Parts: sequence; structure tokens; C-alpha cells
Amino acid sequence: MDTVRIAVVGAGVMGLSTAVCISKMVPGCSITVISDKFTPETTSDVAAGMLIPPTYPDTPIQKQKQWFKETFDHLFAIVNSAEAEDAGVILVSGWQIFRSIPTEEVPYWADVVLGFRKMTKDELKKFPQHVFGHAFTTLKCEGPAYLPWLQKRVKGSGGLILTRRIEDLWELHPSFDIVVNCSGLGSRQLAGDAEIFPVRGQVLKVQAPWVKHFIRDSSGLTYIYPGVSNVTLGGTRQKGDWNLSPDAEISKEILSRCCALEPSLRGAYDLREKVGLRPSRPGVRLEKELLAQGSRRLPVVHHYGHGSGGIAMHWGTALEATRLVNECVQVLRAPAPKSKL
Amino acid sequence: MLYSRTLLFIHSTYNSLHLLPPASHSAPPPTPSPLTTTSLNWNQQTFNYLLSLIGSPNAANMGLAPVSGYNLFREAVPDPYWKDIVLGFRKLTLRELDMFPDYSYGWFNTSLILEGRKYLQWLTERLTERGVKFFLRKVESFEEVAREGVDVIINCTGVWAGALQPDPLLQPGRGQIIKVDAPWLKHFIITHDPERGIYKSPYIIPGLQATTLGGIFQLGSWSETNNIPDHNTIWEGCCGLEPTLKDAKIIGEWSGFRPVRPQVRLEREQLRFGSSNTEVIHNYGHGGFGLTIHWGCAQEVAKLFGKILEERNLLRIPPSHL
Repeated sequence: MDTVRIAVVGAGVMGLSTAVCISKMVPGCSITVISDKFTPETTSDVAAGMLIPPTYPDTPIQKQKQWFKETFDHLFAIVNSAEAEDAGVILVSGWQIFRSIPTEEVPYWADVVLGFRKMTKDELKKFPQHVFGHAFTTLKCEGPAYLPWLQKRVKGSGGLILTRRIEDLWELHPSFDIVVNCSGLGSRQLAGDAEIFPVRGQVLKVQAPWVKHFIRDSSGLTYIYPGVSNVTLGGTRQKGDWNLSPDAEISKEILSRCCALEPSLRGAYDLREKVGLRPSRPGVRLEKELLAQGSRRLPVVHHYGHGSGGIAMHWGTALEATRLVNECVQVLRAPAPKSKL
Repeated sequence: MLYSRTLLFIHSTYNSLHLLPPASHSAPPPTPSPLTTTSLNWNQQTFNYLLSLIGSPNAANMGLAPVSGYNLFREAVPDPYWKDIVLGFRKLTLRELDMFPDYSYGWFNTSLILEGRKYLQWLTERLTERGVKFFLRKVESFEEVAREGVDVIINCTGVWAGALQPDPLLQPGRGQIIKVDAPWLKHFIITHDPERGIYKSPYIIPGLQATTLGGIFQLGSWSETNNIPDHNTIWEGCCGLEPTLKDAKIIGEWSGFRPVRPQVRLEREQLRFGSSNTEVIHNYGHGGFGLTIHWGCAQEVAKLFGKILEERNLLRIPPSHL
């Protein structure tokens, strides 16, 4: 049986986690991760990495819950191991607060996170502008540590990592048998996908080590996420904005909104501005496509478009992408029908 | 003008207050003997007072921040007296307990950390602003101070109170702690072992910057030096609880003495030196929960002080001219 040669395009959290899953679950294949950008320069490096999932309007809730649960379980196992610090995964507790009582008081993911409950009246006193809240413990998974950790695993299982900018997926033919496309916003060009667009997010990564809890306004626009060695303050949601340069006015405004929720942040120091473009789509693109050009065939598995839910959903969708890759491998390995011509 | 003896010990006090993390986390673990209603009130008053300061931009400068975490047990126990004092008290779920294989029961709650060093600095600044004077001096006796014309002595000499007035009920509860750099730890983890006794089971408490590891309690020991067996007990106990500690950098280690007493000595005493009476208000013997109840105690002392002033004023009312 010949080795099936798999190219994974993209080295953000999707590309790397898919490569790891494939190496574990698909026998008899070689994996090469190809990207022009690697950690710490990917979108995944800017993301705070909080496991609080968004809602994808086009995806059934059961599926979203499955993806989130698989990701949570995977990271929970890491956080309970001695590898937690290497992998950049930590446990963090906190509050999601609402200015008005939501129609859905208990979200679909309440039993995936730990210790989920409604905030008590006393807890809400800390947030006079808010009338309702969730208290729970979840995980934070930080790109700058997690991506190198995944890269180590890719290499450890014999995978290769290549720095190269791919302009067209056909460049990978015939060197590779299957392409896994994890190129995020790059798919606009690489996959001709007009549905994917950036949602610009600007954040401040600051020093405020006394902040031990996350605080998230339910709108998702204002949040305080304490991490391993800094606190992420956010944020913005600017649809269609491709600008990667930080805006000083926006930074001031983010700081002001966060200080309103957590006044001690006025003492935060060493503020660094970061911008990431969320690869947004009505739903995650998780499907096979057989590219054809003349007599050439190139099976592609698309795995991209997670918007603001990349880290929160990555392992679940990587597992699914891996199943699709397996299907492609089965097709390649099936004995070719002999032509009668 | 009130003389303060505490300044003499500021050096060791700064460290020893770090040493008392169950106190510095402002919600003591359950004590073997039931706490008195008075102590419960002091605990509540202190917690409420500190909680009201959360939300001030100065909270972190005071050494104050909210922190959540885990109290772990090997078997089911009744809820603690402080469950309604802290925030969001609840029992741990099975999935949470999976994180701690040696333990089968526990609590989760949100409490407060109050770091001794920063808090003392902050209090010193506030007192200085109000004209309080500080004298660095070793006081040998109450009499020495009384003879200088002091009206009221407030005795907060802690574990060393016996040097000023013998108190057989007061004993050092020696502790040793290791401070590490482990900024990824956001929760306190306090374990309980009723067989070994209080403060003798590993605990991990994240501070505003560094994280404190502890689990030593030796009643009657005055040993000021860190020792290796205790270091190993703490290190192994805490790494067993939290394996990622193996990556933590050790930044310091300290020994100190919890001022242990069956109950806090908070009372007035009149001492007679020569022809005058000197009022003393004792406020010492807070064991491992000083920070936890300090504000309630301070208010009680203030009340007693107020009574003294009232009594003295009565004595000074000029005789009636009628």
C-alpha cells in the first residue's frame, strides 16, 4: 500500500490540529504542513483563546455542541496533565454578564464548561449596569504556546513543515494526493470562496496579574480574559475590515470599556495592541471537494471559516475534517475499475 | 499619640503575613473547634468591608483582589460557617473532582486575597496622611510606655505578646511557605486532612504577582529558619496537587509564626503604674486567620477605645457650680 501524501495548507490552529489528528487517525500517510505564516504571526496567535463558543447560524446546535465538547474534553485532558504549561492551556473562572435578561438563560454549552450556574445577587453587585449573569469555569488555550506545541507533535509523528506561499491549490499537484485547506481568509483566493470575510478584532494585551477572573459582556464586544502571562482586553467586531494596523483611538476606547467593568485595570501596564482578522462565514466550511482540471484530479478537504470560534471549536472540527480525509484515502486506495475501452 | 510596636517587626511581619495564606485569602478553612459568633461577625464584617473596596481603582494597590478556587476533602463534610460570607459558594461537580484524583469532595467559591506586604504599606500611607506617627523601637514593657504619659495602649504585638505580659494560652504556630512564579494558576487550591490537622495539608494560593505554596503548621516551634524537610513536604504536596508546578520558578521561601490562641484576646485591661491607671486594649492571638477577621477586630477595638474616651470625659466633667 503506497503512502498517501497529504498537504495541509495553513499553519494556524486549524492546519496544525488537523495535521495532528490525521497523523493519529489515518494510517499510511505522510503529512506536510505548508504555510507562508507560522506562529506567532497567525490569527490564532492574536485570539485570546477562551473556550466560550459563538453560535453559527447555519449549523445545527447539536453539531456545534459536539464540536465544542470534543474541543473542551481534549484541552481539559491537557490542562490536567503536566503538559498544560507547555501547551498554553489554563483553567479560568469568571462571569458572562448581561444588561438585560436573555431569552435563553441557559446556553447550549452550559454542561460542557465546569460548574455553570447563574450569578447570585451579591455577585452581580460588582456590575451595577448588568442585571443577569453566568458564572462558570472554562479553559483558555493560547496560540503562542499551543501552536508550537502542536508543531512539535506534527514533527514528532514524522510530519514536515514547509514555509511557502501557495497561490493556487493546483501547485500541490501531483506532489500530493490530498489537500487539506485550512487557509482561513486565504480561501477567498485559494478556494474562490466569496462567502468568507474578515471581522476585524483589535485587542490590548496588558500586564495586570491581579486579575484572576474573566469578565465578558454578553454582547461579546467587551471582555477581559486573564491569560498565562498577560490579560487580553477587547474588543471590536468590524465586518469587512482588512486593516491589520492597530488604531490608537480604538485602543483607548477598549481600555475605557474594560475599566468600566474592572476599575483596577487603570493600573494595567505594558499595554500592547494587536489586530486579528476573524475568518468569518455563516458556517464553518467542512466538506470534501474534488478539483478537476482536464484529466487531473485533486481531492480537497476544506476546513476553515470558524469566525470567532476557532479555538473553541478547533479539535471537534479537526476530528471531522480527519474523517473526511479518511474517506478520501479510502477512495484513493480502492482498486481502480479497469477501463473497458 | 499612640506608640506602635508593630513597626519594629515590619521586616518579619511583611513576610509572616505572606505566610498566612489561608488568612490572606480571607476565608479560613474550617477550624476543628467551632468558631464563636463573635469571630463569625468579625469575618463577615471584614469580608464585606474588603468587598466594598473591590471596584475601586486602588484595589490592587492595596493588595486586594477577588480570587476563586477549590477546597478539597477526602470525604463529605458539612458546609462551612462562612459559606454565606463568601461569594458563589457551591459544592464541586464530579468533573471538577476529576481534576484532583486524591480527593472526593469539595467546594468552589469566590473569595478575596489580601496581600500583607502591600496592605501594610497602604495602611501605613493612610495613617501617615492622618498624622499618625511611627516609631521604630523595641518596647520592653507596658510600664515603660505608660510612664511616658501614654493614656491608652493598644497591644497588637501578635505572637510576641508574651514578652510584654505572660500569656500561657498564646503559642507560635510555625509555618513555612514557598513563593513561586506560576502566573498560569488562577485559582486557590486548599486541601484538608482532618487527621493531620489544619494548615498541615498542601495549599496553593495565587497572589497578586507570585503564588504561595504551603502546608506546614508546627505548634510551639520558634524556629525562624527554613528547613529542608518542610520544603520537601510543601513541594511534593503541592506538585502532587498541581503537576504544572514543576515548571514554576521558586522565588523565595519564608518561615513565620501564626499567633495561635484558643480564642483571640480582644479586651480591655487597666494597669496601674505608680499613681495612674493606664488603659490597655489587647488585640492579638488571631492564629492563621488574622487578615480574615482583622477589620472586624479593629472596629471592636475602636468601640472599646470610644468607651474609654467616654469614661475619661465623664471623669473630667468640672464640678457643678450649683
